[in-house]
Amino acid sequence: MNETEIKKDFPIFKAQSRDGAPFTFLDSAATSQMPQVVIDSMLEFYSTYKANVHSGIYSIGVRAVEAYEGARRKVAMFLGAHSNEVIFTSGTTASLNMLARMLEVRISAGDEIMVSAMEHHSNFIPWQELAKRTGAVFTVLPLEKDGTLSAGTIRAMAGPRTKIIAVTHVSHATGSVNDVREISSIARGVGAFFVLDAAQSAPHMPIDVQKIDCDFLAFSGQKMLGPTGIGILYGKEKHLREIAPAVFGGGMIREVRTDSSTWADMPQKFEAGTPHVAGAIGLGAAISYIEVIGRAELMAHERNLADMARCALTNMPGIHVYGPHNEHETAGIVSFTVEGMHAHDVAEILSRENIAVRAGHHCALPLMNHFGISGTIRASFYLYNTEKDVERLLTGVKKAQGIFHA
Amino acid sequence: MHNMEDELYKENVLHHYRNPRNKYALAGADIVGKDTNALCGDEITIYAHVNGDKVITTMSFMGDGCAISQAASSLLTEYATGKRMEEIQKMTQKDMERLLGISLSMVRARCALLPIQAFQHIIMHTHREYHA
Ligand SMILES: Cc1ncc(COP(=O)(O)O)c(C=O)c1O
Repeated sequence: MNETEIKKDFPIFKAQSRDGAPFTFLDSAATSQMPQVVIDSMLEFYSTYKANVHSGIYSIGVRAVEAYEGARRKVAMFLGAHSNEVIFTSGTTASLNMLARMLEVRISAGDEIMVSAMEHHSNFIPWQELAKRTGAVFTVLPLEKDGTLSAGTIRAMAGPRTKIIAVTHVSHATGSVNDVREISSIARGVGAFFVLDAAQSAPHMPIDVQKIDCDFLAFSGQKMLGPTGIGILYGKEKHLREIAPAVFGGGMIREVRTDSSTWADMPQKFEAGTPHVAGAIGLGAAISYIEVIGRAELMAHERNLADMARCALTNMPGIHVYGPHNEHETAGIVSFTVEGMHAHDVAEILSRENIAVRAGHHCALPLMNHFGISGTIRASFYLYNTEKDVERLLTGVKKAQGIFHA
Repeated sequence: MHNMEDELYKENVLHHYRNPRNKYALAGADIVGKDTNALCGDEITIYAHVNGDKVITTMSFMGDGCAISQAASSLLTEYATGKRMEEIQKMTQKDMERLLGISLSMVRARCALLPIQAFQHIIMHTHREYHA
């Protein structure tokens, strides 16, 4: 993999380099940058064939439907799923909220809904609210000291009343990777739905929904070289066939009568209203870009950079690194604090060096409480990052320490 | 832009961050106000003694945060003494920038304004003093 060449595909790096300082972007876990081919694919739609996918009689209407459904096929292949199991949404958050509504009729008072303490608020609050609406018990799986989730904990806590186990594949705050095969077998054992938040895994590692055997899976296009406003909810065909939609309107009906209506087939019944066609096309282009390199290759590259950063930071005085230290349990994310400095101040000083990192609680307050801190500085790596970026980060952190402790 | 950012961590700001003035819970405070910066979750509590003319006689603060919110809180507690309550509650970004001696981006202005907002969101007051 030639990341220096890859960087040239992303116009932002040229646009944001300043005073000779390259732009070191280390916040891909929040949103990734887009290569020119992705931007162009959307520009082409907007400038030459913008049409609603629900009015495809005239020529560009047909072309828009073909592009939109072509993107759906790419996503399906990307996941090892069937096209009709792929629902376009506006992002992970929308996918998980919609799913919580869709599953509401399956939950009764006294049932249990389980999430872990490492979840992003997007995979936490929708389930907490679902539990409130239905009278179900909301269980938050506790973490190990290093912020990892042990499958043993889930096995010990899940039981016959457990109806939903919703966990993330990769922690966006620490990079910790969960044993999803094991969790799915636990869910299978107790007869619960296994909902996987793949927002931080789908962009970076091979995903096969058949192998993982999850019931539902969600991710966002914006974190995988695609645009904002597009995301995916995958669901097993046998579930989607039976489950009723939670959002209603145009484009999802079979028959509408004054007393009652019936729904189109899956996945259309879950896509009411005009979808983000350009976003879907952009996501399709992003998948093509990623597949040329290969996700196993991406993961190896990102892990290598994160390991470099983690090792160096661990050995620096006054730095505390959070999360597991074993490289095989982590993705390309490093989370740390600097003694005597608030995370925002570190990020601010790094920003002066043209280095972008995320600082704060990362929408993971239960995890921050677990560590007993208010926030961390997070560096997250993607295919366009280089060892030089890691070096610049380390130099920047030392400089920040110098300013505050001088 | 570059210059402004370079100025952000001026010695005065860092000094107040390292040695905050009036950082304690004021016993028998007439007014306690509290607010949270939604962006980072930092929380500041402001305590004040206010006399019958609604003039602040003592102000203190509690809570952890970034250098900007800590320095702003520390400087505010000194500045507020002898000033009328409304005057402090009405302080703007410009006023805080003057107090800190730096200019602030939209994001960091929220940190600097946190103690003011805390003083606006009053969670406890002794009626006699507050309504006098
Ligand atoms: C693990 C995880 N889940 C969910 C989300 C929410 O994604 P979005 O904001 O694209 O809906 C994020 C984004 O930060 C995330 O990291």
